[in-house]
Amino acid sequence: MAEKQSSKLAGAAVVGNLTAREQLERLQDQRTAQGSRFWRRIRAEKKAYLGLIFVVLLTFISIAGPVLAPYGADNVDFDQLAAPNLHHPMGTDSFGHDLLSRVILGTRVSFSVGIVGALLSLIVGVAGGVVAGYYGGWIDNLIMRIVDLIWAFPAIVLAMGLVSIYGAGVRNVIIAIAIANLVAYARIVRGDVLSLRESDFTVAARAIGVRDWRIMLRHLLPNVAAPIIVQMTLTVGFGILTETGLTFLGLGVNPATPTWGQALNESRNFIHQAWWLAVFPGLAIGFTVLSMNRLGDGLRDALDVRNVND
Amino acid sequence: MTQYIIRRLIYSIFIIWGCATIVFFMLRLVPGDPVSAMLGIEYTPEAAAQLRKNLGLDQPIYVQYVKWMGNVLHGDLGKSIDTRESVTGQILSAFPKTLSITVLGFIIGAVVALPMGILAGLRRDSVFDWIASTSTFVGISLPTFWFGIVFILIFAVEFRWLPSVGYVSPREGIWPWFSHLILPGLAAGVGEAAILMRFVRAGLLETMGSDYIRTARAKGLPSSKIIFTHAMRNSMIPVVTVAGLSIAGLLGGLVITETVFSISGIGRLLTVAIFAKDYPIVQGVILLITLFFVLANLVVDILYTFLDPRIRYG
Repeated sequence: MAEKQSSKLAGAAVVGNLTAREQLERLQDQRTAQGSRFWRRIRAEKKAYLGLIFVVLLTFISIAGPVLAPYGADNVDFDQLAAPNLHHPMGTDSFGHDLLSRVILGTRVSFSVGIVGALLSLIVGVAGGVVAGYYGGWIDNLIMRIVDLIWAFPAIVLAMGLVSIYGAGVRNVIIAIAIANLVAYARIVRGDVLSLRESDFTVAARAIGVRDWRIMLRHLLPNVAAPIIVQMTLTVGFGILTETGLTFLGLGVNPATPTWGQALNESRNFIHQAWWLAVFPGLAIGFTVLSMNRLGDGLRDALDVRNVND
Repeated sequence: MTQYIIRRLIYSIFIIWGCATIVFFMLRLVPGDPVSAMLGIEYTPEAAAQLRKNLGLDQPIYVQYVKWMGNVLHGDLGKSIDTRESVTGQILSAFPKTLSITVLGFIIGAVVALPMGILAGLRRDSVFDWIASTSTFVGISLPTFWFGIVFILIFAVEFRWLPSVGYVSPREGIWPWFSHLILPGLAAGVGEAAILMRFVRAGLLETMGSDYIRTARAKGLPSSKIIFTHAMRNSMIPVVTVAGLSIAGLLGGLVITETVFSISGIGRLLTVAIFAKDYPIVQGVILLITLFFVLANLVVDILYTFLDPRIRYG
């Protein structure tokens, strides 16, 4: 026992004897070790890895869309409603647009709306959840009752309500996605913070006088990062589904913009003549959301996050 | 247990009251003058004053609030601006259509999900498991309304087996009514099945690995008895929750799917009302959907206490 104690002390002394630079290097080594463990786990988890590759690919398509698309979005020099052929692998629409080009260009809209909406709901939801869990009492009660109220509105209905008040358009669709999805973040984070609040490191930080916001930001947040990352990928998927749904109804993104939802809306009028109008944009949606879901599911396993279903 | 149910009931009433309050303030949140937005090109000062009076917007806001709440409690949601008919009447004539598709979608979802989920849960990593998990992922990654379009393409356009759009009242015959419901019901059921299957599988996997199942095996019970009387009972608890909650998802998905099938249910009513800026209808439909959702949750919670004694006594 005494021996153990002394060796511990010796260890501390050695650390104390290290120069500041050496200590820093040590810390950095630990960090990289943590980082590479994260990557190793993701690579070991095939689902996550495949999802990640698809998401990177889709990000590239949404950025480089205008270069990749064989024709411009408004190029209408082709036969109208031509079936898929060598020049137009996905056929053309009723205006004579090349559908492949429109599907490629639509990636940017759906992808960015999904990601921005998810990020916004992450920021608001996580902030609400941390504050509610950390302070407890009436603050917790107030925040979580608001969350309960939001939860009573199905996402698409909430979005339609907001659009009916503020009008259609990208900005309002993003706000709607953000509000509808913040519930999950707030609930996950609050639950975790509630238990972390009593942990030794939080109590210690409070004892030496670390300010509340710093405890939340530096000590609590990193500990709830894993479920947040998982939820983020899933939210992007939900967001894309909400956006395409609203745009399909004509309540979302401006119909002049090439989007998947808009293409599907148009397909309804030509369902007897042109199956390709319905099939390809739908597959694009499915592929994107599937990639996000796979990534989220794989990350959940890789980061060992318990299953949160509400 | 009674205490728990009463507590849940009071809480649900609180949530419904909160939702109603939010819906009340919807109209007041419209930027600018909601009356001129509603009237659009038909705007004249006289018409605006008349509409303001009809909506009660000329009174102080607390009077409006108390009156509106009182009316809602009596089932009076005001009059549509477009058709000047009562909102409650329009919702009541649209709701049965939506409800029949919801119920059919739910049944189709459960009929597909239960056997598939059980097979996948019992034979982990088998072909069944692979099919179940793949179709789950596909099912939740594609919008319900897209399945609607594809089913129309396959069953109505290509094979001509079923009618593609519209709704027929059951009074005109059971088959015409049902045949118009099959495709929207299938579309709604796909997403439902995907979600349920996942939870049936997960629930069963967890239960099958527990100690009491091993005990049952050790004392030599036949597999069928272990699965159906021992494992199923416990693994179905999370499934009930998800099934209850998914009704809201079904309803939400239908809001869009009804447009695909040109069925004038509440989703179509809501969509058309948003375009027409017919706020009393928008408010009414949103209130009804949240009411439905909160009640579904309440029923799930109460069912729970019967299924899981730990909640009853805990």
